[in-house]
Amino acid sequence: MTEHPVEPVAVPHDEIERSIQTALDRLEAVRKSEAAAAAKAAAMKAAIARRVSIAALLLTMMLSFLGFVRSQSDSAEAGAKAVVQQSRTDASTEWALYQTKTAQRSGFIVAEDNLAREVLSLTADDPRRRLARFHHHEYEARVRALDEDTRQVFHRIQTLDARAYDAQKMADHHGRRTKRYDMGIRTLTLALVLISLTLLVDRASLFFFGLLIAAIGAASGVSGYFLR
Amino acid sequence: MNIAGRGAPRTRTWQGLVVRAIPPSVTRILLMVAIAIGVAVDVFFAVVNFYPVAPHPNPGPKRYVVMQMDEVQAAWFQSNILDDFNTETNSNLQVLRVSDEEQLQASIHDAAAGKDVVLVALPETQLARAVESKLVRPFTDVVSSEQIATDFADLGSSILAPGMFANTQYFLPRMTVVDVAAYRVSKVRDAISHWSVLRPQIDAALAKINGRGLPAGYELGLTPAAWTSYDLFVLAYYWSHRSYSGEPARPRVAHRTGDEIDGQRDIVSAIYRLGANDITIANPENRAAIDMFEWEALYRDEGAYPPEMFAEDPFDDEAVIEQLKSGELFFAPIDTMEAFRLHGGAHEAAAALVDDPADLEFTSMPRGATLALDGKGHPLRQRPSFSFHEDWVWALPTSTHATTVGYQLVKFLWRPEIHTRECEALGMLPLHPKVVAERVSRFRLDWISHVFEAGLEQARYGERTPPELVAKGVGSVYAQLWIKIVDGKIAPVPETAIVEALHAPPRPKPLAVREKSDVDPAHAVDKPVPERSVPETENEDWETSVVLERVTGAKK
Repeated sequence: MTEHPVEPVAVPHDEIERSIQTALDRLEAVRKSEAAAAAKAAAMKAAIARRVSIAALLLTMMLSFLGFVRSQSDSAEAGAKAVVQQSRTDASTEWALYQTKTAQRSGFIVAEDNLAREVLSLTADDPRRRLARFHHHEYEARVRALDEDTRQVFHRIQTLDARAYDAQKMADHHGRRTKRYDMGIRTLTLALVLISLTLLVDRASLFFFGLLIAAIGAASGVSGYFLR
Repeated sequence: MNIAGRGAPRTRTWQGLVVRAIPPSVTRILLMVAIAIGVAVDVFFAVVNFYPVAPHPNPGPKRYVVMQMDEVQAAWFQSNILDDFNTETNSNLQVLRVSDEEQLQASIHDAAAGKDVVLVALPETQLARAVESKLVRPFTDVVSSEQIATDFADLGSSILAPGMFANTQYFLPRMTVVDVAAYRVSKVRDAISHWSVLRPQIDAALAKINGRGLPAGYELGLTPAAWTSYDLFVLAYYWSHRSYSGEPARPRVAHRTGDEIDGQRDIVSAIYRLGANDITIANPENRAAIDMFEWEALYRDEGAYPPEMFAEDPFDDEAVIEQLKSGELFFAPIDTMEAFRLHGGAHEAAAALVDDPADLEFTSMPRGATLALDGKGHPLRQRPSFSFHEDWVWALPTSTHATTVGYQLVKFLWRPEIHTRECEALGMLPLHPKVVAERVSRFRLDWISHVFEAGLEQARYGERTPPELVAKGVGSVYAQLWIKIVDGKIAPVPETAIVEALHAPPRPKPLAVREKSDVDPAHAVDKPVPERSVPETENEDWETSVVLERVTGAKK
């Protein structure tokens, strides 16, 4: 390969300087543009971080308060169930008492029947007739007292049954509310996760989607309070 | 996408469409709104921690449920049923009670002027009139038939059937009322022990009609549920001659009379008990009617019926209750709810109306048996115990402004727990299939289960009250015939006299609708009987000889 000698080109100095300046300007423009883009990106990140922080703060508070409310509702449900259980136990005890008294009453009735049969064979002036009369009065009084006792026991059982029913309804009501609060808590937690992910993936749409999920969770929690 | 919201909105394309980004200013506003809502929700939950129960909105104006009840029953229903319903549904329903079923429709009229009546409980005998006069409208106007079928699927078609009118669920079921027999145990025991003393007289009284007397091999039944017309006559005859506690002997058995619904139903059901049916009843000269009037004339001739049954005022439900209450009657038909009222003790405020509720028992009505006997000395015709069912339904008044509350209440009432509560306190016959199946464990008191068992047994053999009873005046005809034959002292024999009377039946009268002012105030509220003191007399019935009156040579 043969080398050809390069003819020196006569370029004016001014032109060379302009060219260099132009190139430098271009470089500077590129540098500035890159700097501006970097600044813009930094600002955007900062804005995302700020909004994510605010959202996270609000959602965390919401989750905490909703957790307390859910816990209260859960306790109320447990309390109502305890009342149901206690009322049923008390009612069973009262039934046992009722049956005991009924058995006692039957004993007196049988004794009265025996008296009535025995008296039929006695003469009017037989002293055993007077004794039978005495026992008859006694048994009759005892039967009446037992009737009154069983009446009271029965009404107590009715009260306990009604209390158990009301408490069960209350427990069911609190149970429904607790479920709704649970749903709210889960949804809000999901929203918190989605919004937090925005920081990593840098997708604004994810942030807004998280907000939408948070709104659903909050609505679910609020509706739980007004649930009937 | 520019989340920072600076600069002009940008556009992007998606599948050829130009999608314009949300302007940053709008985004900013949206975010501010979201923050504000978030803070508000946080504050809400913070406050809710201190007020865990949500406040109730205003339940609105009072609305009314019209029912036939006494004061005690109405107070119980309000505090144990309606108040619970009001709490659950945030309603404001109140009981508007009437003492007599004939006043129910008048009450809707009265109430329509100033009160919003959302429901009224009507007996089936009044349905046609209520529909004709447009006082009520069908439930299918406010709830679809499919919804009703779904909501009441547990009840089954037989319970919903009384509410069907013109092939739609015009009404919803309320309850079924059947009669049972109430009797005094101590007096039955006395009769079982001593009735045979009067056997010759009883035979003689019966022989005047059937030429023989009591059926062959007759003994007074020891099982009340198996009693027949003859057992009842023996009891009635014995008691009407038996002196108790030194008081004059007098009639102790009765049923309702008079040209009102109570009397009509008792008289017509007595005819059915002797073999009539929906077809034969239309002809007053039917065999069962002749048999029934022979029995009735015999009771009258033997002085076994109290004079009040022949008085001008109808001897109705309330009159029977009064006589059972005062101890005048030892046996009478009453419905299950009246049985509960009489016995008392079904709930705390239900005082006993009789001096000794433990002496009161309940069974099904006696089986029908004719006075006429066959060649072997057995009743010529017999039939199982019979009583009409009177179905009551919930009707929706045309004038009500709150149509759905009434429907909700009916649904609430048919919950098994609420139905059980009502049955146990008011004496309604259990109808809900679940409650009926579990009745042994749900109704544990002996006397309550006796009433219900008698009622359910009665319902098994009974029939629905025929519409002709009121609509065609059949009940009125027989009630007037009863007055003509029994009060008119037509002899039971020869039966041609009775047949002649039946041959010329009176014209039916429209069912009497009493105004509120016509109701005897003495019946308005039941006064509990003061507690009986244990008698201190030397000679008490349980140990003294039987004292019989108006019977020659029968003193034992």
